[in-house]
Amino acid sequence: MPSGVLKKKKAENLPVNGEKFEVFSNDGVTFETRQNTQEQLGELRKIIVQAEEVSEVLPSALRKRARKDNQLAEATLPIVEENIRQSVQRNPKILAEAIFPIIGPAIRKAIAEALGAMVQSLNQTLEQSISPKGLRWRIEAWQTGKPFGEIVMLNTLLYQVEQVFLIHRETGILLQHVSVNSAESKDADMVSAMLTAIQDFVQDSFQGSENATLDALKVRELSVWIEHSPDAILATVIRGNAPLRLREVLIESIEKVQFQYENEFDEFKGETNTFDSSRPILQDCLRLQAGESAQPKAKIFTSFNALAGILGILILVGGFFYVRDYWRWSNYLARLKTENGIVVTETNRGFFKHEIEGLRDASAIDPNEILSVYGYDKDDVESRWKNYQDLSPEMVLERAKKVLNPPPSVNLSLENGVLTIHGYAPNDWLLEARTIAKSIAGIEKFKVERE
Amino acid sequence: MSLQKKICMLGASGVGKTSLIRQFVQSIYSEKYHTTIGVKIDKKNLIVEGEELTLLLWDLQGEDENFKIRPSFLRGASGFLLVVDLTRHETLVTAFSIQQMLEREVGNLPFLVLFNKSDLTENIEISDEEVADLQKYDWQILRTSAKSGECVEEAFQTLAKTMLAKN
Repeated sequence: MPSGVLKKKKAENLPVNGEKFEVFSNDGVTFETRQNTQEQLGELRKIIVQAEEVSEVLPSALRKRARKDNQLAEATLPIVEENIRQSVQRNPKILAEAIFPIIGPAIRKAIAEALGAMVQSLNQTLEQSISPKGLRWRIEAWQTGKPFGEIVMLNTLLYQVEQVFLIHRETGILLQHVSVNSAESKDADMVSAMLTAIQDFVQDSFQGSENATLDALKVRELSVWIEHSPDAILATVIRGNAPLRLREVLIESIEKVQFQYENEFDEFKGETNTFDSSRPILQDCLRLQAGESAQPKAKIFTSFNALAGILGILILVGGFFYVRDYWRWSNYLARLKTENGIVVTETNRGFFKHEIEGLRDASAIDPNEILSVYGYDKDDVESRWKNYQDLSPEMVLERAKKVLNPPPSVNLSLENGVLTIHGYAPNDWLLEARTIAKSIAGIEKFKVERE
Repeated sequence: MSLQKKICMLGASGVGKTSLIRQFVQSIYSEKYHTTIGVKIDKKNLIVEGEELTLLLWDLQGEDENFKIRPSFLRGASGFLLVVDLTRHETLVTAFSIQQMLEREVGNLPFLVLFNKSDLTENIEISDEEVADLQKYDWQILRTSAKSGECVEEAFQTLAKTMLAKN
């Protein structure tokens, strides 16, 4: 052992009064080496004591410094980043599980916002659409207080969630299965394993990371929507076009299962019975379709509805013709009432033919002549008019004009039963008129006013 | 639902994995799944020591120079059936490499080595001595025949018991 060299070196590093010296003890170990060891032990003790002291003050020191400025954060940032990086590298599941409660709602919120924006834009697009269907949807939107776009989506999307599989993510074992038709569930455990295999196959084949998961499968009108949590897969078989909002419900369901069965997942060894109580959560996904499937839409063309439609149209058409006829007939009668020399005593508005009865002065207008003005033919109205003489001054004057046939240079007027002749008239005519006028009902005197 | 376990069936190409289980399991998928996605899922219901057990059997495409087993299909398995063809020695070599891969990928899980095609006595390439010699690796071994059904049920029972013991 080259102890001499070591001893010498130590001696050189230990000056006493400016001189070098070597002291040997009985057991061959130099005195100075012992002294050094004791000094080192002392240093170590000091470090331990200091560490304890520091550990006492460290938390409050960190707090104080953090309040003062950002230097502490800046100093620890690379360490924290490296810690996270290493943790993810070693086992991504730990961090994924830790931040799942934050990420889950955040994603949900993002989806809700995206959907909201979509509904809004759909709203604007449809704002101008005017159709009976659109009008009906508008009334529905007004009644329910929902945006118009959402009502359109609800009415145009028809779907049914037929089956829900809750699958253990790692093993592909079916934990629970609910279905609208229980007969379809006999091979559900093999189906769930195959779904898991397909999921793995897709990830392997397209170089996806473990987080790049298969979200949906589609075969014509049948879709399988898949949602993942750290330990479970929720696969839903949907017939028809489901709204994207459904995915939000599925995510909420799987999050609920993940939280409620955290311990069961950790200790899972193939006992599926422990997940029996999750069935109501899965059944909620099934029930969802009943409220929103807009099933009545599918039955629009039943024979009853068709009959009711035809009847409605007939009532509308009949009503139109009825109102139009009522309007025409009323106007016709009103017109007759204003005419001199016509007195309507009785009317009957029949289904196919109308009847009218009354008195008519020979000088009055012919009521049949004005029928066409109101849209009637002579055949549409059966008229029974009895002659009479209207003794109103206007009609007496009119009758006098007709009977006397005065020359153009003559004007006739009637006042209080006195027929006055104005203007120039030949004597012959005057003589004849005087004679005839007395026979006209309503004329008591004949007077000539020469100009 | 009873207790369920995922097991994988592995081995070289053509050792008779699918034939071995064809008449002993429930199946809804055709064999074309092997060549498309590399696995076919079958199901086997058992009663082991009075307990109902459902084995979800992942029948993986046989390994050869063109096709390697996807490790992701092994995830979550509770046990393995490793099949060797008694009439082809190279399938034993493949079984060794698969077993090493299993240890690497999923750790020390129960497995059972099935020496299949025991009915083809004239063409056997792997001798009884060689099979007996494998006991030194602590392998659980069974001779099976897909044709006669020899030891097929027993294979599932044995693996199931080992898995439950480990449970």
